[in-house]
Amino acid sequence: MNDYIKDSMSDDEIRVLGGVQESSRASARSMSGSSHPIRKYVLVGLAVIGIVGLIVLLSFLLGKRNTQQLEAKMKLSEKTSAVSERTANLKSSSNSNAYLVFKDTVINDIPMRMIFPENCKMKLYVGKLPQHDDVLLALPAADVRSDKDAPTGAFVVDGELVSKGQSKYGFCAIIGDEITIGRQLETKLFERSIENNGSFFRQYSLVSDGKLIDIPPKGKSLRRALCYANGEIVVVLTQDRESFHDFSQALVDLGVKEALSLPGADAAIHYVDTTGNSVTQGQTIKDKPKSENYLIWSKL
Amino acid sequence: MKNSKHEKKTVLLQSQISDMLNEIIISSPTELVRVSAFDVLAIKADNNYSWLVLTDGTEQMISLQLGQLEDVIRRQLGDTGAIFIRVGRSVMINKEFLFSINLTKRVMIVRSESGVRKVYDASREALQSLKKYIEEEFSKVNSK
Repeated sequence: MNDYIKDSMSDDEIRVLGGVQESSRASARSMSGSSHPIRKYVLVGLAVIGIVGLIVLLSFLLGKRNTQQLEAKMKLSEKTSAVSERTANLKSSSNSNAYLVFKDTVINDIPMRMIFPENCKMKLYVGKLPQHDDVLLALPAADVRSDKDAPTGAFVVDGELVSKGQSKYGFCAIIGDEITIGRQLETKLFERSIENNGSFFRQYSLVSDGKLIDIPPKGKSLRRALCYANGEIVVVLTQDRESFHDFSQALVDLGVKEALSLPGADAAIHYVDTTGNSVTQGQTIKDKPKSENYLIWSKL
Repeated sequence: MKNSKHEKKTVLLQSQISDMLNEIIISSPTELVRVSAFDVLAIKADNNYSWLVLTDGTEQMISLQLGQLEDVIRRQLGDTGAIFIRVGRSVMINKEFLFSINLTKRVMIVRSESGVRKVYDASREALQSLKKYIEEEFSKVNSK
C-alpha cells in the first residue's frame, strides 16, 4: 500500500465501476460498511483541510513532478528487455589475506577504476559510513526515499525486511557466500534472502545479460556500479563525470555481464588503498537519513 | 443470396460495434493507447501514473492517476465497466480474472488463461468487501 492517489478512495474500500459515477460511489459506501450520517460532515471537514493542505503543498509537489516523471521514464526504460541474473561465489580462503586489487583502465576514452575484493566478506549495512579498520571498501547501496526515510524498493538486511516495493528492476542478493546480481521484477531471491538471513536491495540495472540497458537521464556525474564479470564481483568507478549511457556502454565493452548502478556523484565512499591507508572520498552529510545504507567488504 | 450477404455484413458490423464498445482508448497529445477491456488483467497505481497490466503480460504505463483512469473507464465502458473493481487506493482488478483472495496474507491473485499471474496486496477490510461482493454476485447468478 505504498502508492497513493489523491482521490476520495480509502485503502479499506472497494468500488465497482460501471454505470454513472454516483451509483458506483454509493455502492462503494455500502461495501465499505460505513453509512453513518456523521461521515458526511467528517468528509466535508476533511475536504476543507485537504484543500488548504493542497495549496500549501502545491509548490512542493510541482517541484517533485519532474523527478517523478524521470523515475517513471527510467522504470519504462528498464522494462524494455529480458530478465537475467548471475551468481558469484565469494572467495574465502584465509582471514588475514583480505585485500583489494585496484586496476585502472580506459574504455571508450572513459578512465575507470576497477576494484576486485579478494577474500572479503560482503554485506549490506544500515547506518553511517563505516570507517573501521576491518572495512576495506564501503559504497552507498540503495537510494533512500526522502519522503519516508526508507530505502527505495525491496530492502532486506540480515533476513529482516526493511521495506517493500518494485520500483527498480535491478537487484543484488547476498545469501551466504553467494552474491547474485540481476534484473528481474519478481525474483525468488527476495524471499530466499529473508528465509536465509541474507540481504537484498534494488537499484537501476545498467547491463543485463551483457546488453546495455538505456537509462534516460543525459546528465553527467561520477558513476559507480556493482558488476559481475568473468565469474566474479567487481566494483567499477569512473574517474570523470559520465552519462549513464556512456558508462553502461563502457561496462558492456569491458565484458561486464550484469551491472547495477550505485549512488554516485558526491556520495561518500570509504576504502583501504594499496598502501594500507584508509581513504574517504566524497561528502559525508551530518543530517543523513536513518536508513542510509552501504555495501561493505570487510575482513572475514 | 443477397439476403445472406446482407446478414453477414450486419453481423460483422454488430460485432465491430460491440468490440468498439468494449474498448478503452486513452489519448494524450503525444500518445494513444487502445485496448479491449477484456484484455486488461489489472491496473496498478504508480504515483501520478498507472500501469496497465494485460492478460499477455504486457505492461503499459499511462500518464493518468488511477482515479482519473477510473473516470475514463466509467465514461467509455458504461455498464461494462462493472468488470473492474477498484480495491483500495493502489490497484484496480478485472474481476473476470480474479483467482484468489487470501485474508490472512492480505493478498489477492489475478490470473489470465495464458498463465500470467499477478499478486496484489490490499487491506484486510478491502479484501473482505471484495470477497463478500464476489460471493453475493455468485449467489445472485446461481439463484436465477
